[in-house]
Amino acid sequence: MLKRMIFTLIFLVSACVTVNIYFPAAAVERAADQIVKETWGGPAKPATPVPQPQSRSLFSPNRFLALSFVSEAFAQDADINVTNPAIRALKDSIKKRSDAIKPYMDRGNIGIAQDGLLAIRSADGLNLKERAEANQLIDAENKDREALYAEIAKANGIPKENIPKIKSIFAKSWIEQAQPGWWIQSNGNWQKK
Amino acid sequence: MKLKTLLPSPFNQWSYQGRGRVEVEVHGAWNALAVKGVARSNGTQIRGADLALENLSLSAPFEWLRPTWRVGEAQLTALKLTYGDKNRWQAAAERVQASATMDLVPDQPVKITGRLKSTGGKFASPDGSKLGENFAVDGDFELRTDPVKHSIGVGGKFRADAGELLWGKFFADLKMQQPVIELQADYFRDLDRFDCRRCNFNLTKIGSVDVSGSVEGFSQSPKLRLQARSANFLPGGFYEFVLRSSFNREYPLLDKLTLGGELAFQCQIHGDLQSLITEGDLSLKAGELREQPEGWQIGPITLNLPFQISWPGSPQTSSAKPQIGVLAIEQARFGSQSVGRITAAISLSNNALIFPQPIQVDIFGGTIEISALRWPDVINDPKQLSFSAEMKRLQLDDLSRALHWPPFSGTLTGSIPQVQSVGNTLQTNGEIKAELFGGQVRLGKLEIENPFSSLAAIRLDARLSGIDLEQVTKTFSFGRISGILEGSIDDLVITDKQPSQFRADLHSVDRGTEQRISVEALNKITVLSSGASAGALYSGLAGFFDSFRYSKLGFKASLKNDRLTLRGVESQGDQEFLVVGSFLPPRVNIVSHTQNIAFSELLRRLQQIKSDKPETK
Repeated sequence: MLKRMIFTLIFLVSACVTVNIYFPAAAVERAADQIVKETWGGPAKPATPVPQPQSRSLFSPNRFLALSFVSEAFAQDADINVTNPAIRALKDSIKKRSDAIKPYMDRGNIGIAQDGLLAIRSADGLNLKERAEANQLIDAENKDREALYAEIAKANGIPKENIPKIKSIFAKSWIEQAQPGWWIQSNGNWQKK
Repeated sequence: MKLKTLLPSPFNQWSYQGRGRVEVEVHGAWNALAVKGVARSNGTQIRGADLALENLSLSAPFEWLRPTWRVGEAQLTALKLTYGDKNRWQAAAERVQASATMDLVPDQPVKITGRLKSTGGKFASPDGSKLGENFAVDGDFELRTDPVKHSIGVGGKFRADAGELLWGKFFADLKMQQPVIELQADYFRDLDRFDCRRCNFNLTKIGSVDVSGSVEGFSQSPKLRLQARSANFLPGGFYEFVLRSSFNREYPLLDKLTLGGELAFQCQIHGDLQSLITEGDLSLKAGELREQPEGWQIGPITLNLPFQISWPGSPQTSSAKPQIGVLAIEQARFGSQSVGRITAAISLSNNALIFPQPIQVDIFGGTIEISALRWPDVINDPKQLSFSAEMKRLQLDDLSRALHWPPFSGTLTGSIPQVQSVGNTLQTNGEIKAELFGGQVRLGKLEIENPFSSLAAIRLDARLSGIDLEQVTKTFSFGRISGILEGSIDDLVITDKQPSQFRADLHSVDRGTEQRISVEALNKITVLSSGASAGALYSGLAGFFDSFRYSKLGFKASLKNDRLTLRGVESQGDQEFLVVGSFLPPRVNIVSHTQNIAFSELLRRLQQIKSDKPETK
């Protein structure tokens, strides 16, 4: 009898176990839109509705972070911090470089890859000096973008494992705010926006 | 077709399309015949597995004077020559023009001398990341084949008057460098050995390098035994040509740097391509490192360095005692500060760059001594280094002037027993002690994250004791506050020359000395904490008083992500007291009601108090 009661109690408690997965996706999306707009001057985007934090069962493969028993604590989805000296310096660096990159984007030499990083799409019409410049710009820009994602994670206490999520959200913003006529990579193929 | 079968490989595998004409004139006695003629071809096309030639024109006068065949001043012009395919390295030339003379004597080496000129030359790697275009090469050559030794001798001097090179991020326009290659070399087919009697590579703005020696297993697994030397290598030219233009987008600082001096070296290079060992000596004369325009400058630098390095692989452990060289810096200048002659012993052995003796630098009225400075593997991992440092009585007024800070007074003394690279961070232990503002500031847990990137971050803790507030407020033109300040600043991180985070607890301590605060200082604290000026209020009071007694002042603050949280030295409910007046009237308190301040707002307030004219009473 006692065993049955204990078992029932354990079952009831475990049935109430809730895992809050808190990755501030909506806040990162807003931050990404804002940063992309500030640095590359993309078109303004209407504010996205604030979604509720996702909740998954204990046995979901995607679980991590907080475990809470019985009561489910919803994380606040306030804006994340996107200003500190490191982030400002990276944004400034990206912004300053954008004027040099945009002519290559306009001509279709540089495109935005699926991961939001820049890549050479076509070297047509470029002399070797311009190709070297395009390679240097891409290399410096991609390093800054990766560093920016890492700094945003650090500033907001987001675990390092989630940096790819930030990168993926930013990729969406870089692509959405790309100017018409720029080349975007989708499923391995380049398409003109 | 029959003629083709007589040709050696690979010529017999190519297809030829075109017409040729041979004019032959034979005269003389039967037993002393002389043959003279000319072979001509025009518009011939050649195709092979890897080779294509659109148009070959040939005019080859020949002569047979028993027993010698002589081809004199043969003229060959080939248009649109291509070699290779998409999956391999490709090379092409728009036009190749050659003139050659050949003597063919039975059982004697064959010698061909002539001149080669190529325009519109280009090459490409299979992935297209390495390209050359518009090459114009011109030069004299000599070819010898020795049937007895089974060797081919190559000699010549070639100059590239034009050409553009792309190698990943590196681009070079060779027009400015006019590369010249001089070659005297032999290839022994049976031994698969390449002997370089003398090879010289020269770039106008960098200098020249002579190479001699041999390469065994030349076509299979090359094993080098070479000597290289240069007497006029210009590091400044190399920096401009190779480094600056390739990396300035990533490190904009490179655009401000210039290098000077002349380098000479001689070395032996031996080993296979996976583990080459290079050993020799290098010397630098009149070296200079300078930040433009009118920034810091180090030089003249003189260096004599025996070296032994391994690359690209890791070095083998060696028990041999490294040879020691000397580095001498005659002068260095940082702002208004000059540093006198510095000399240091130096060794580069087994890839470890070591300064075995302490380096003493007399600067800022004191001395900095750096000991045990070493890079364990400067070739493969140049960011890893370690050293210890000791600072003795550096004058802070000199230091602050050089750094364009407000003029601090005091001295800086400290010892850092070890600075060491851990991943991307330079970590230290030990403590730097600054005798500052009549008290002491101890700096510990000093770290530099990403020290070699454009976004380095400095992290440290600071402990303050016995700081004379009067000296502080005078230095920073913050009115006048008398008293003693103590406290700590923890986890201070400075990124991009700005504080990006800290936790501070600074407060006055009553040591029985006078504790007064001027009206100007009160106003500035008010502006800093609230953003609003209380000038009118203080002006009213100041009509009667210059300053007020206080019993406590201070704050607890933390900064993270551009948000400053400011709390007082004392709290009552939601009131945070930054200044608590004395019990005796007139009593003035400064109470803060807003604890969170955005960094941009803080900067605005600092700007405001900086621009406010001090009220002199």
